[in-house]
Order: sequence, then structure tokens, then C-alpha cells
Amino acid sequence: MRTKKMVSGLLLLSLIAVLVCGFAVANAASQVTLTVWDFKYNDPGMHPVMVKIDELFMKKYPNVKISHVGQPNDQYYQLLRAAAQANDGPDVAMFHGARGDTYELDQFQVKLDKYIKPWRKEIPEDSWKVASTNRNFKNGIKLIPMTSQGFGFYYNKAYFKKAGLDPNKPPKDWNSFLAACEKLKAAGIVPITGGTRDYTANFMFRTFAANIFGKNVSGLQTGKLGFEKNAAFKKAAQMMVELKQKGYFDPNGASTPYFMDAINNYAAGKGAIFCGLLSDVANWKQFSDALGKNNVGYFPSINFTEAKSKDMQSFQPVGIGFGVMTWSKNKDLAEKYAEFYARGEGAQTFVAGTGALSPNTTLDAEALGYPVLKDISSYLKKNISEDYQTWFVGSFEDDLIAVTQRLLITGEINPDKFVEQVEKVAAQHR
Amino acid sequence: MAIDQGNLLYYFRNNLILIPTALLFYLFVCITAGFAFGRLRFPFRLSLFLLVLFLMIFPQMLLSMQLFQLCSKLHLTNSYLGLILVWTAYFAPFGTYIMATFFSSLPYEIIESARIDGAGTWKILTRIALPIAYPMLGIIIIIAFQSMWNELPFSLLLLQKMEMRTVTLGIAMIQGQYGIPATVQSAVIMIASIIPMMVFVFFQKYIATGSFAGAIKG
Repeated sequence: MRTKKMVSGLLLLSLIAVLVCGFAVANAASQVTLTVWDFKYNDPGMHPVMVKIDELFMKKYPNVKISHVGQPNDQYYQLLRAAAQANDGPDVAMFHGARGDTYELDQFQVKLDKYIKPWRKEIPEDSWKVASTNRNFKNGIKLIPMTSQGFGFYYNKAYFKKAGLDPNKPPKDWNSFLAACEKLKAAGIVPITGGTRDYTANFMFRTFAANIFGKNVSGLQTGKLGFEKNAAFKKAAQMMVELKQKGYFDPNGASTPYFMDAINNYAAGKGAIFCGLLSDVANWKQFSDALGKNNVGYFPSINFTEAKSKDMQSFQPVGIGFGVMTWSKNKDLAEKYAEFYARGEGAQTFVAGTGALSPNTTLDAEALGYPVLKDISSYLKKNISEDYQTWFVGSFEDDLIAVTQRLLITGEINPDKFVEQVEKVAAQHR
Repeated sequence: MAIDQGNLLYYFRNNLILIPTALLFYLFVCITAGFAFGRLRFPFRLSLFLLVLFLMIFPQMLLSMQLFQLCSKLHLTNSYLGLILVWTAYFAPFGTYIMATFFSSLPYEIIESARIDGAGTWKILTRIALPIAYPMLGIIIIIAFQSMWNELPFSLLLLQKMEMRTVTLGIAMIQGQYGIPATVQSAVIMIASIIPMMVFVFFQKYIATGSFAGAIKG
């Protein structure tokens, strides 16, 4: 009897142990780890927001664990190429929209057309086009756009008031821009923060180009349009030189990197006008949070008579986006993750936390309560000119920056020579 | 702030686990291979030694892709063992060359008298040659330590888990797409340099003595 009880007890214990182990094994089997690579995760402004979104996603999909790996920006595409060669790497990877590097890795990215079908209308076709290899829908959509990007001028309304300018009337044309800079300078305020180093001049040229080339920027890449024989582009170069000569740039601009020093300077109130971005950093949110929501104004470009268009907004339909890699063993879930950043709760959290401009039309960014967003949205609705840089590979930007800051702004070459140089650089990258 | 932003303590811990272990592997290879090339006679010795020297000419970036593929196939990515083997393979040729040159310069009589006394090859290496080689070991340790501490391409490819990353990788990581303020970056680099500097100070006397090793034969 005693033996029987012992045997029964042992059997019962064994059964419980088997059940517990079985449950644990089954649970482990259903637990999926998604590895995500990106070049944003290490940015101090992005990190906490992305951590939060990952947590939201894991809450929505309890069987998924996100292993989010922030990679160094400079080596990012090289790392992805290495992963592609070994056919082993992340399930989801971040890419820039419309960049040679992105299209180069096209064969390792999953076509997402069937996944996005139910909600494709939420994002404009222009963005989907850029998210397709070489902007051709036949090649398949390979990215789910997280942000749109663009460039424009933010201005500090309090400083405008202090200098005797109307804070609600942005100096959108060349003469009023010069007059505003003069008044600001006279009031002891640095007119344009940033200045003569790296990206400030480059971004300003890109805003000018929106007015110069309007909606027909693709011709710059094919060679149908050029920089050299364009009187408006030459005028833009002359404008840059004039701003420099009149001392309207930050006097320390030559030794101040745009990222993040010049941006932080502007956010700290060290200047009245700043050529910033629409997403990522140096954006409407960062400046509004730092300078006051009602203290930041915006205009997209400077209007001048030689340019054929007015008030055009330089724009990239896709700033960054997530793609799903072909070697992923969990493609469906990987796509769900990429989608989560582009729509619904995930996208809303991303926009609210980082100040990114989402291409998703269902998101109500204006509800966040930033007045400057209304101004930006009004330009985006009707005056988009695609940023010409997106038609070229990344090195085009570097070469252009070199020509601009080392030759034009320093007075090493005159605007005539400058437009010649720019044309040469463009020809090399066509 | 710099420590906080860079998760430096985390990365220091990883380095202090990884590098001493890698150095043990590295020293074992350099000492044994160096002694073999320097003192032993076996077929194709010179050809193999030239091959070892030839391996020193390849830049890291050239090898990184292939090594990543190899480690991926052997399931050695995201493991310290993978990185230790890669570091050993990449840095050992130089150490082997240094040690082989040193061992070959040892007086013939010392080795021969040990053999007559009945010592085998292993005993000669450990009891006779190695104690004399301490200055040289100091040199190769310091060079390997600095190289491993500063190494980026291999660790970048092989260590994809945040919690496994090294100090140099950590410094690369804190610079996101738009960088961090130069002040924080400089502070992080300064802090990260403390240990290599201490190692250098500790071992520098070996460099001084090692550089004269073999210069005087009495």
C-alpha cells in the first residue's frame, strides 16, 4: 500500500514535471526574437522614443522580443553589405529613402506590396514610389516610410520683435530677407546661426533650388537640366556670397559644425534665423520646445525674381524607413514591426517624441499643439519640390559641401566659377 | 555625464573580460609558434614562416567581410570566442615574428646544454627560453593590448549584441547619425584611454629593456 502510494506520488510528480517542461518548451518555441538594425537608435533624442515604441510593440505581440541594435552611422551600410554577403543579419533594417546605398541592397529586401495593400492609401503614392527600387513600382516596394524630410528657415519671433520686425511676417523675399538681417544685426542679434561650415550653406542651396527648379528636379540627375547655365542658380550663389560679405552669418560659423553644435546654439537662442530640417533633429519640435511654441516661425525658402517659382518647399518623400530582409525567418512579424513605426500608435509616439514628420496622412500631427506645424503643413500641401540631392548618390552631397564651403563661401572662387564646379560635380555623379 | 551617455562602465567590463582572455590565446600562439620557427627544424619551416609574414600585409577591412562570413557559418558571431579567435589570427603573425626572431638569437650553447641535461623541447621553452624572453613578451603584450583595445572593424561585425560590445565600439556607438557634443565625445575618449595608458606605463620598462635585448652578448 505504502509502495503503491509512493509510486503514484512519483508518477504524479513526473507528470507535473513533464507538463511544466512541455509548457516551457512550447512557450520558448513560440517566442520570437526580431533583430532590428538602425543608425538612429544611438541618437540621444531618438533612443528613449524608440525604446518606448519597441515596448509598445512587444506589448501588442507578447510572443515577440525585440533586439534593437544601434549601429554606428558611418559604417552602417558597410555592415549591412557584410550581413548580406553572409546572408545573416537583422530581420528589419533601417534605410534612407532614395539613396544609392538603399537601392544597392535591393535584392536582399523583401517586396512589401502584398503586406501594405490594406493600408496603402494612408501614405501618398509619391512616398511609396521613392520606397520602391529606383522609384519604379515594378521593382516592388522595399521600404515602409517612417519620415518625410525637408529643409526650411525657422526664425525666432521674439528676436524679430526686438529688432523692430513684424514677427508674424516672415521675410520670404530676398530684399526683405536682407533688410531683416540688417535690422537684426543692428540690434546686436546674430541674423543667421550656423553659417559658413558644412551643412548650413548646403541646406540653404537646397531650399533655393526648390524655387529655382520647382517640380522638375529629376532633370538635374539625367542631365536635361543643369546648374551652370541657370541664371537663378548663379543668383543663389551670389546671394550666399552677399550674406557672408555683409556679416549676416554667425561670426563663429566657420568653426561651428552644423550637427549638433549650430543646432544647439540656435535652440539656446544664439541667433534669429536657422536653416533647419523638418524631421530628425533641428526641427519644429526641437526649436519650439527650446524657444517656446509660439516663438518659432517658419518659411520654406527665399523668393527672388530669377527663380521661376515662389514659396516652394524642398521635400524628401521618404527620409528614413524600415525594410524587411530576405533572410529573416519571421518576415510577417518583421513587416508588422516596420509597419508599427509608420502607422497607428507607434507612428504617433514616434512623431510626438521626436518631431519627425510622418508621411502618413491619417496622423494628426497638428493636434500636438505646435503652431509652426500649421505653417509647415500649409506649404507641404501645395508647394512641394523634391530635394534634388535624393536623385544623386550620397557622395554628391559631400562633394557639393566641399565646393561650397571651401571655395565659394571663402571667396576662393566667384559665383561664375562656382556654378561651373557644381555642374562638374553633378556630371560626375550622373 | 560622459560615462552615463556612453554606457562606458558596461563596455569596460566587457573589455576586461575579453582582452585578457584573448591575450592568453595570443601569447600561447606567439610563444609556441615563435619558438618553433626560431629554434626547431622541420620541413617547409622557412616557407611557413614567410607565409606568416605575408599574412601581416592584409588590412583589416579587406579581411573583415570574409571573416564575418566564416564566423557566421561557424556560429561564432555574437560570441566572445569568435572575436578572440579572429583577434588571435589577425594579431598573432606580428607577435610570432617578434618571438621567432628573439628565440633564434638565443645562444646555441644554452639550448644545447639543456638538451644534454635531458630537457625536452617543451621544458626548454618553458624553463630556459621563456624566462629570458620576458622583455620581448612585454613588448608583444603591450602592442597586442593596444591593438585589441583600439580594434573596431572585427568587433563591429562580430558583436551585434549591445551588451557584448567593447569600449572602442561603444565610442563609435555613442556617435549617432548626428553625433554628440564634442565635449562629451572628448570626455568619453579621455576616460576610455585611461586603461591603455596605465598598461603602457606598467610595461614600458620592458620596451626599454627589450629594445636592447641581444645587443650585447657576453
